[in-house]
Amino acid sequence: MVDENRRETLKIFIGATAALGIGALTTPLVGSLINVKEMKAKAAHGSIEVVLCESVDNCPEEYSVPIDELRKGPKFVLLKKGTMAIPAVFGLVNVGGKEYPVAYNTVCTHFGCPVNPSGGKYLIGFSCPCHGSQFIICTNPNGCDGHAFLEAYVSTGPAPQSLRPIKVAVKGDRVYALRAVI
Amino acid sequence: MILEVVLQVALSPEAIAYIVAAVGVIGALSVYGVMQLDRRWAAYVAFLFELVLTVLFAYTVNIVYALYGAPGFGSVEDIALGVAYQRVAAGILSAMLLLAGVVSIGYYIELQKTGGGGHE
Amino acid sequence: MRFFIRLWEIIIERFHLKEFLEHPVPRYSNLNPLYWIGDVAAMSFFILAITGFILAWLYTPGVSTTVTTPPDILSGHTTAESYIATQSYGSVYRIMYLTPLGFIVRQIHLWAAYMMIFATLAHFFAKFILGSYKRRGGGALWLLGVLLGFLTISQAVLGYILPLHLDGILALQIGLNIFRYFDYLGIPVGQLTLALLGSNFVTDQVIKIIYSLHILIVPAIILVLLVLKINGILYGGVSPPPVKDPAAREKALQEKEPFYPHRFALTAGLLFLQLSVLLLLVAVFPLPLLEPWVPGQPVPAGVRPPWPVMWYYTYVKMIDPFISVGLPFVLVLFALVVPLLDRNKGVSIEERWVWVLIALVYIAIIGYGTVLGYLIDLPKEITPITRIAVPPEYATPYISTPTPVGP
Repeated sequence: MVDENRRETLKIFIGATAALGIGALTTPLVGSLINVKEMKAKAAHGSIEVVLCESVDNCPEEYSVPIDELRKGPKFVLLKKGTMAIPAVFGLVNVGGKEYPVAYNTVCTHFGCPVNPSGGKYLIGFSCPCHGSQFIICTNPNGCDGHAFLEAYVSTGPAPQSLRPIKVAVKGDRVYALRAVI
Repeated sequence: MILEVVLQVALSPEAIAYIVAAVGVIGALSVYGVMQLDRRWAAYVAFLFELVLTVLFAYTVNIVYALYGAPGFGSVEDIALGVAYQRVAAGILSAMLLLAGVVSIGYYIELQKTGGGGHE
Repeated sequence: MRFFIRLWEIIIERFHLKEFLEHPVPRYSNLNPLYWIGDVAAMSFFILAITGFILAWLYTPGVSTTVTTPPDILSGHTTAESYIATQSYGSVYRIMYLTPLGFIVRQIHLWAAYMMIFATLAHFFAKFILGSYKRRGGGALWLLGVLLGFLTISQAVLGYILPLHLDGILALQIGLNIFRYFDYLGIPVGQLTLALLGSNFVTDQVIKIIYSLHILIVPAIILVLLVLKINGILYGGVSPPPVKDPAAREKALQEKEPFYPHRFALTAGLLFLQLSVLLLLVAVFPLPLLEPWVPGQPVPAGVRPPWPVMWYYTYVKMIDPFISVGLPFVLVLFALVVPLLDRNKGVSIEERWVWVLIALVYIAIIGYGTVLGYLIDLPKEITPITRIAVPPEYATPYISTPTPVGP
């Protein structure tokens, strides 16, 4: 008698776990197939914004790069805030002769490998060595096909969304990172 | 530098490896052979070979410690030599365990044949 | 000689090991490999623990890059160039090449790890074929076994990350970020990663957590589960022999012998042979230390995971990640529900041929993925089902309007 109760409990427990597991696995699939617009907008695509400095006036030097150094080529900086480390590449994008300072969080949006910057003196985009995703920085001030100006959108490969940016501001002769999206 | 100094006084790793291979193979075969005749003598023969291998092991490990402790150690060749001696030491341990395994399994097989305890 | 035997007999009597050691075990399970592969896995675990103790003395976890190291010996570098490496990598380099006997200890640890994973998978396969979950108490042992298998693979992944070579850091990055790929599951997973580890990129804290997991928490859980399993086998007996005729089965179960000295000698002999093979592999095929990497350096293409997770890598590449990223969970869940699905009483292979076939398919999935991972050279580009459109405030690297910097 007692054995049967134990068996039933075990069955229910394992069955519930299996059901939860299968449910958790299929929810994203079902959700994407339904393609509910509000769900997508609310979901905020899994990114979190981290504030490094409140304003560019009281931003410490370690979150910045001198523009002269950026003119030689993109520069890697490991931004640290509390327990977080954010791998960032600062660079200059050439838009019709004008140089725009940019910075991106170089964690690939596919599975998290560190991406390699491409382009010589000026930053053109990024490529991920793990599975071949390529990110191109939009250099059209009116946007490129649904992507914003200076967005590092996915041109090819398995990455599902554009590379997460780091919002920068210029003060004096340095570019400061204010907020990072991780 | 250390390479030449060491090789003047010690056997090279390849030489020790050949000696160990010979001792190991001969040991395993002789223990297996004697096992068919008398298990107690097989244990004694195995113990003898284990003693020889232990001496070789101590010798090799001493070379490793002397090499790594020597002043001026650090070049790529020195490290490669140290690694080679360590691999030989692992091979010696492997041979020792092989002999121990042959003795144990021989004991088991004999127990299966006699059907009971045969130990004194 | 007689003295040592007398001493041994006194020990097993005074420590009350005699009753424990002389309990009867059936003879059919002695030489059949399906019954002793589990011993190989358990012995590998103890070897890993002992070599792990030694490595733990010598290893320093850290991401700071103040150590410069000359290049790796086994891969054939002969120049005297040194390059920047993290503190973890530097300490592993020191263990490998600048510590006497450190090379051997690390190699034994590596090969014992590979042996443990292989033995765990083979043991799972053997128990699946034997239908060990059917007998009284077998289901509990099966559950413990699946958990142990999952923990073994976890240990392998965690241990692989610790040296912080290129493959290790990539494994860490992928492990932290792979489930954020999903649209909806990705958000709580990402926030959970940040809450638990503090960062989704490698930091000192992340490495410290991985280190404590690898040397303390997961081995403790494995040890407890292993003790429960051995206890279950001790008092419950091993699986019945896979014969169809019940009379023959009964006869095989009745033929017993005391564990000590008969089975003990055989087990000891097999374990000696296992150690001998392990040390031979260490001596003849030592494995190199992979190249270091420091955040900021370019990452070369074509990095592959180690063989225990190669099958996962292959399937995620071949099949759309939406379906294949959850593959390990599907495999573990299926392994867990097998005792509930397989209800009929037969234990012979001809009665259970369906389940034997399912076991073969299960192992073939893992084996095929592993082999294919080494054969496929070029990465196959896969496009996801959906690309997520990101709102501009999350896409652009400026807060209001971008301003050019001019000469």
